Amino acid sequence: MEVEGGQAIAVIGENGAGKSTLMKVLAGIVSPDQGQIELDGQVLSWSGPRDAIDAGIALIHQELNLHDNLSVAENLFLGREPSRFGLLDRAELRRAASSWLDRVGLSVSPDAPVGPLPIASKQLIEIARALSTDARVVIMDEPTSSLSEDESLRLFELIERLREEGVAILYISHRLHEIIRLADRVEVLRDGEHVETLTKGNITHDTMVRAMVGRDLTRRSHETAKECLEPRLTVSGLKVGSRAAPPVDLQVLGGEVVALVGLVGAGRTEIVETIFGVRERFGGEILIDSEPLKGGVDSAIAAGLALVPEDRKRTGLLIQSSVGDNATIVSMTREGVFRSRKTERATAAELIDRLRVKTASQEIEIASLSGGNQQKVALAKWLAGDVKVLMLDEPTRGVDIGAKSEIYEVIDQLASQGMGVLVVSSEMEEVFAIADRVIVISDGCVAGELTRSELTEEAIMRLAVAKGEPAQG
Amino acid sequence: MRGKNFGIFALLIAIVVIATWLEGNFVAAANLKTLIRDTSLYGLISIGVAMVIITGGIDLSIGSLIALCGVMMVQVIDVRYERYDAIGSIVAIERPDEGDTRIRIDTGIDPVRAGDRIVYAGAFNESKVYLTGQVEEDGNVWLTSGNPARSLQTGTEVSLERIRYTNPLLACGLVLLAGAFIGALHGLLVTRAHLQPFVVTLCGLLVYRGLARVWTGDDQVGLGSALADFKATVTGNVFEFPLPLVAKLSGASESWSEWTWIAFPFTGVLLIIVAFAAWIFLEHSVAGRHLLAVGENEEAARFSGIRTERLIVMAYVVSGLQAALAGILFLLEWNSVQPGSSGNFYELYAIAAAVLGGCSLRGGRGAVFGVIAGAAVMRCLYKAIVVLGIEQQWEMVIIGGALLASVLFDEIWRRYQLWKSAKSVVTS
Repeated sequence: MEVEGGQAIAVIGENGAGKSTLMKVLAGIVSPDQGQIELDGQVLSWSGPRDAIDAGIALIHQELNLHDNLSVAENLFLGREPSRFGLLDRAELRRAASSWLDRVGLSVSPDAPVGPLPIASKQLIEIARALSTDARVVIMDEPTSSLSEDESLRLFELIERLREEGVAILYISHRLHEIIRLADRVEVLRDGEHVETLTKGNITHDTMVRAMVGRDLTRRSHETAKECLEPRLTVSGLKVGSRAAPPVDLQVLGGEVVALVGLVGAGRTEIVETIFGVRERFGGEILIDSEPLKGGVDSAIAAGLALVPEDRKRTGLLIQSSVGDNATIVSMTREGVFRSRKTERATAAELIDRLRVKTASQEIEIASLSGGNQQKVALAKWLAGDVKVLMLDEPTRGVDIGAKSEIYEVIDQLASQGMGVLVVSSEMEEVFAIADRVIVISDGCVAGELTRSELTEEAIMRLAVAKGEPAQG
Repeated sequence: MRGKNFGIFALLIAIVVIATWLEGNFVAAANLKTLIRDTSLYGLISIGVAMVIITGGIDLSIGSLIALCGVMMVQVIDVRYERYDAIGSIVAIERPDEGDTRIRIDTGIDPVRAGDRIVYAGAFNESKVYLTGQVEEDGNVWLTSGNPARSLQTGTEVSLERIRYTNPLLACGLVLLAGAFIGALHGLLVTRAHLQPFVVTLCGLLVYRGLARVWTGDDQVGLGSALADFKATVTGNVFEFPLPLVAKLSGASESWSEWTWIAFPFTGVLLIIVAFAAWIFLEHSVAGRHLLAVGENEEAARFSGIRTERLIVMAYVVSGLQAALAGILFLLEWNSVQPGSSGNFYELYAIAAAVLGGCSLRGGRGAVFGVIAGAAVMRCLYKAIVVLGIEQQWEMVIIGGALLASVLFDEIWRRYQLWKSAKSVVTS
C-alpha cells in the first residue's frame, strides 16, 4: 500500500478486519509480524510510538487518550513540554497551544482543564496534538464518531487544508458518505488482508459495501419451535443513556433467536444492559410476557431475564472464585437465608454436566479454565432458574471453535424450549448460524430489521452504515 | 477462595510458646484472664472492620467512635443525685477491721442501693460518704460503706442523696443505635455519594474525636459509683475453666499434674456470640456469600442481580455497631473516658488484626476465626512485652514488625504455591 503526500486515503472494512491494527503498526504501537514500512524511500524500524512520532507519523486514536485533570495546553504538549533552563516555560506552552487550537478551530482557553470539556472538543484536542508534532502522515481512526455535523464539517475543512500543505492522510471511518466526500482512494481490508483498492470516480456506497463483504457465508440449518411464538420480551420507547436519546423498540418472540447487530460503538451493549437494569433506564417500557418490568437487576432476574455480558472477566464471572460458586451465585438467592451446600453442589454438577463444561472439579478456580469453558459457566449460572428471555452479549468472544458450536447448540436448544433469545454479535458467521431474525442498530437506533430470507451481509452493512447519510438519488 | 490462613494460628502458638519459655509468668491465671478479655474487646472491633474490608472498603473511624460512644454512654446514663433533707442522725457506727463500715441511723428509710450517699456537714464543707448497700441484723438496718468515714460520729445529722440514672440496658440500646446510624451514614456516603471509604471514614475519625471533646468540654467523664451491678456483671467472669500444665509453668505450683482454673470473662462470651453469628453469616448464609462476591468484583456481583449497595451499607453498619459495643465495654472496664485519647489507634489495631487474619484489603477474602486469631496475636505480643519487662516504647515497633513479617511470609508462601502449581501443570 502506498500513500503519497497531499492525498487522503480512506481505509475501510468490517469489524475486526484489521484496520485499527494496521494503523497501530504504522504508529509503532504494535510491531509488525512481517513486512516493512518505508517513509520517503527509507525503510523504517522503530521500537515504540516515540520513534514513529519523530519520523513524522501521528495517530489520532479512536479512544481518547487525554489526561482529564491536566489543562488543554499541558495535554497538547505532554512529554515534550517547552522548557527553559530545565523549567517548564508556561508562557511558551500557552502561546504554542493557542496557535494549534486556532488551527483546528477550537475556541477553548489553553488553561482550561480537559475533563469537563465535551467529547467533540477532546477529539479536536487530540487532532491538534497530532498536528503539533509536525506530522507528515496523519492517521485518523474514526475521528467523527463523536463529532456533530458542524464539527465534522470543520474537521473536513481542516483535512482539505492539510492535504494542500502536502500532508498525507489515512482516514478510517464507517461513515461511507464522509469517505465519498474526502477520499482520493479507498483501501479495503478484510480479515486482516488488503483485498481491494477503489480509486476516485469508482468510490460509491455500493462498491464499498460489496468490497467489504465479499464472501459467502455458510448457513447452518436451524430449527425453531414455531408453536410458541408469543412475544416474550417487548421493548418500547426505551431511552438509553439519557432522556434525549432516540427511543428503541424491539420485540423477541418465544422460540426465536434474534441477533442485534451493528458496528462497534453503535450502542448494542448499552441497549441490552439497559433492558437488564444495570444501566439506568431513562424512559420507555419493557414487558416480559406482557408483565411490565420495574428497574433494577434483581427484579429483572425475578421476572425471568438473564444477561451473559460481553466481558466475562469484568462482569460475567467472579474470576477468583470457584467454578461451583460461579455456577450457583444466581440460583443460591432462592435458597432463602441460609445456604445449602448440598443443593449448591448438586445444582452446579447438573449445570456443568448439561453444558459439558470441562473442569477437573467444582472447587477449582474458574480462572484456570479455558475461555470457552468459562463462557459456558457464565451462561450456565442462569439456567438453574426459570429464564424467559436470555440475552447474550458477544457470546463467543475469545472462545475456541469447538466450544463455539457447543454454545450455539445450547442457544438453539433453549430457544426450541420456548425461551426468547437476544444475541448481540459482531461476527457475521455467528449471526448467520444462529439468528432467526436480525435487528440492525446504528447510532443507538434501530436502523432496520431483516428476516432470515432477507438476510445477506450486504443488507446488514447497508443498514449499519446508513445513518447520517444524505438522502440518495 | 476463603480467607483460610493457618499461618496466623501457627504464629499465635509460636508467640505463646516463646513468651512462656522466656517468662513462665506469661501463662499465670491472672494474665490469661486479661488476655482473653483484651482479645475479646479488640476481637469485636476487628470482626466489625473485617466486614468492611471484605467489601474492599476500610473503616478508620473506629477508635474515635469508641471514644464518642463512651462519652455518649456517660451522657445517656446521666448520673445525678436526688436529695432527701435531714433524714435523721447517726445512732451507731461500727468500723470492723475487715469488711465494710456499718452505719445505723435513727429513722427508717426505704432500702438504699449501691451508689446512694449520705451527706453531712464536715469540718469545712459538705462531706459525702458513698454507700454500698444495707444489711439487716436483729431487726436493725445497717447501711454499709467501703469508706471508714472517720469524721462521722454518733449523733451527726445526715441527709440522704439517692443516685438516679438511666436504665443501663436502655442506654446501651441507644448507644448501639447511634453506632449503627453512623455506620449507615458511612455506607450511604460510600455507595450513594460514591466517595472513597478511606476519605469518608478518615473524616469520621476527625469528626467523632472532635465531637467527643466538644461534648465533654475536653474533660474526662466517668460513671463514678453508678451502675455498680451492671458494671460488675459486664466486667466480671461468667465461668471458670481448667487448664493443665500452666500451674507449673507459671511457677504457681511445683507439680505438673495440678490444674489451674482460669476465669472466663463476660466480654469473652460476647465475642463468642458475635463471632458465631459472623461465621454463620459469612460461611452459611446467602447474603454472606454475596458480600464476598461484592468484595471480589462489585460489577460482576451487580450483573448477577446482587444488591451490592445494600450489602455494603450493611457492612458499615456492622462496623459501627461493633465500635459502639466496644465503646460501652471499654467505658465499663475503665469506668471513665478521656475524650482526647481513649481509643486512639484502635482502628489500626483492628485493621491489623483483620489483615493478619487473612482479609485482603482488595476485598473478597476473609474468615472470622483468622481475624480473632489476628486480634489474639496482637494482644499476646503486647502482653509478652509487659511480662518480659521490655520497655513500653518498643511496643509499636514490635507489633509493627511482627505484622510486616507475617504479611511478607504470607505473600512469599502464596507465590511459592503458585509457582509449585504452575510447575506441576507444566510437567503433567
